Amino acid sequence: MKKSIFGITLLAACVLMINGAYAQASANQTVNLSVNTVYKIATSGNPGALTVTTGTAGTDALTSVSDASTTYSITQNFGPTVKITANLDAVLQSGYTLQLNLASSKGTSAGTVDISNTSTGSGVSVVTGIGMGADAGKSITYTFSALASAGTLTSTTKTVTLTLTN
Amino acid sequence: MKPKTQNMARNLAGSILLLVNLTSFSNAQMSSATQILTLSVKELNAIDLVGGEIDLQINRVSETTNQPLPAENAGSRLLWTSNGENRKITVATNNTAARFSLRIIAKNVSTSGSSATEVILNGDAPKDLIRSVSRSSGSCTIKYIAAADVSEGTGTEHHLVTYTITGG
Amino acid sequence: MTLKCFSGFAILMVLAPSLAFSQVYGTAGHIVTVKVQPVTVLQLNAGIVNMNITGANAVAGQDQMTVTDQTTSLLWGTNSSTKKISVSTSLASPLYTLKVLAVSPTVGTAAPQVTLSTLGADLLLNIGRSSGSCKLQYTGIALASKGAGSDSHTITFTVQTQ
Repeated sequence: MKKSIFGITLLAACVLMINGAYAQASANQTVNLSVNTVYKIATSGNPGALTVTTGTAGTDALTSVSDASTTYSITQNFGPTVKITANLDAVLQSGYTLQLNLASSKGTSAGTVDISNTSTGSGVSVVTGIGMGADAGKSITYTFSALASAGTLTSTTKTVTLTLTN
Repeated sequence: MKPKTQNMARNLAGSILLLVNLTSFSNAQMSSATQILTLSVKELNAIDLVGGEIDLQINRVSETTNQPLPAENAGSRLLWTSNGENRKITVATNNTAARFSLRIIAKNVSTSGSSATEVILNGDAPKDLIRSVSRSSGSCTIKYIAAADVSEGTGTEHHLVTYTITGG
Repeated sequence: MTLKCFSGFAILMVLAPSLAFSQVYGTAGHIVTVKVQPVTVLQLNAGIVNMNITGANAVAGQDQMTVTDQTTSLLWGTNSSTKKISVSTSLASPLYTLKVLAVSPTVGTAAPQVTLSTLGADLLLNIGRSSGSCKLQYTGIALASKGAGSDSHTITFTVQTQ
C-alpha cells in the first residue's frame, strides 16, 4: 500500500513538473515607453565683443557692428505653436541699440528684432511657429549700434536669454 | 446651502484648482539658453569738409574808400560727429607768412556747439572755431573772407586750412 | 529551478526501489527506465518595465531622443540542443522605436540589437543544453517630430529550435 501511494505521488509530481516546464518555454513582459513634452535649446557659445569704433561726420548714428559667429539648436515635440523669445537681463541705456536675428528652417524668423528694451520676463518673439522636430546650427546675428549723443560706453556685459516655449 | 449646491460648488472649485495647476504646468514647459555679450563704444571724433578748393579773388574796389573790396565764399560745409565730452573744432593754416587777411566765419551751426564769431587765420596756433561740442553731430557753413589793403599790393597766396576736433 | 527538481526526481526514482526493498532478505532485479523529456524554462525577473523620455534625454538640435533600461534579467534552461530565444512585441504600430539586446549572456551568442516588431526576431542563439541568463537592454527611441505620447508593448520571449 505504502509503495503504491509513493509511486502515484512520484508520477503525479513528474507530470506536473514536466507540464510546468513546458508552460514556461515563453515569457512575457510589459514595456511602457512614454515620451514627455520636450523643449530643448542650446547655443554654440558666446559671440565676440561688439565694439563701435567708427562713425560718419555729421551723423549722430555711429557705424553699427555685427557678429554672426554663433548658432543655436533646438528640439521640441510639443507642436507647431512653439516660439523662441529673447530678452536681456536688463534694458540697455538710451542711445544704444542691440538687435538680434535668428535664422530658422522649422519656424518663421521675425527678422532683425530690437531687444534693447527687453528684460527678464519681457522677452520679444524672434522665431514663431516652430514645427515639431529639431533645427540645428542656425545662425544668430547680433547688431550693436549707438548714437554719438549717447556718449561712449565702457565695456559692458549683457546676458541674452533665448527661451524656447509655447 | 443645499447639499446639491454644495456639491456643485465643490466640483467647480476642484475644476478651477485643476485648471490653475494645468496652466502653471504648461507655463513650465520651456527651455532656455543664454549668451554673454560684451558691448562697448569707443570715443570717436569724425570731421569732414564738403566743398572743393576755394578760389577767392579780390578784384573790385570800393568807390567810397578806394580800398579793394573783400572777396567772400560760403560754399563749404563742415560736418562733425563726436561722442566725446567737451570737444572743440579748431582751424589753422599752413601759411605762416600770409600778406593778405583770411577770415573764417562758421555760420548756421546746427544742433550743438557754439561758434566763435570770426576767426582770423594768421599762421599762429590753431584758432577755436566751434566750442562746446559734446556727444553730438553737427554741421555749419564755412564762410571765407579774404581782404587786402592797397598797400599790400597784388599777389597770390595759398592756404591749406585744417579743421581739427580736439579737447575742449 | 524546475530543471533542478527534475534532476532530483530522477535520482529519487533510481534510489527509491532500493530503499523500498531494503528490508527484504534476498535480491531481485528489474529494469528501470529513465526518460528525460525535452524541458525548457524561460523566466524574467520583472513583469513591467517603464521607460520615460524627458528633456534630459534630448539634445538640442537632434530629432532623435533615446532612453535605455537594463533592469531586467532573462533566465533560461533547456536540455535540448540547437535552441535559440526569439523576441516579438504585441504592438503592431508603435509610435516610437523599441529595441532590445541580450547583454552578457552566460551561455550562447547574443544576436545584434533587435528592433521589436510583431514578427519574431532572434535575440539569443546557441543556447542548447544549458541554463543561463543575460541582461535585457531595452532602448526606446523617439523622434521629436513624432510628438509626445506613449506605447505599451507586451514583449514575448520564446525558446525555439534554431
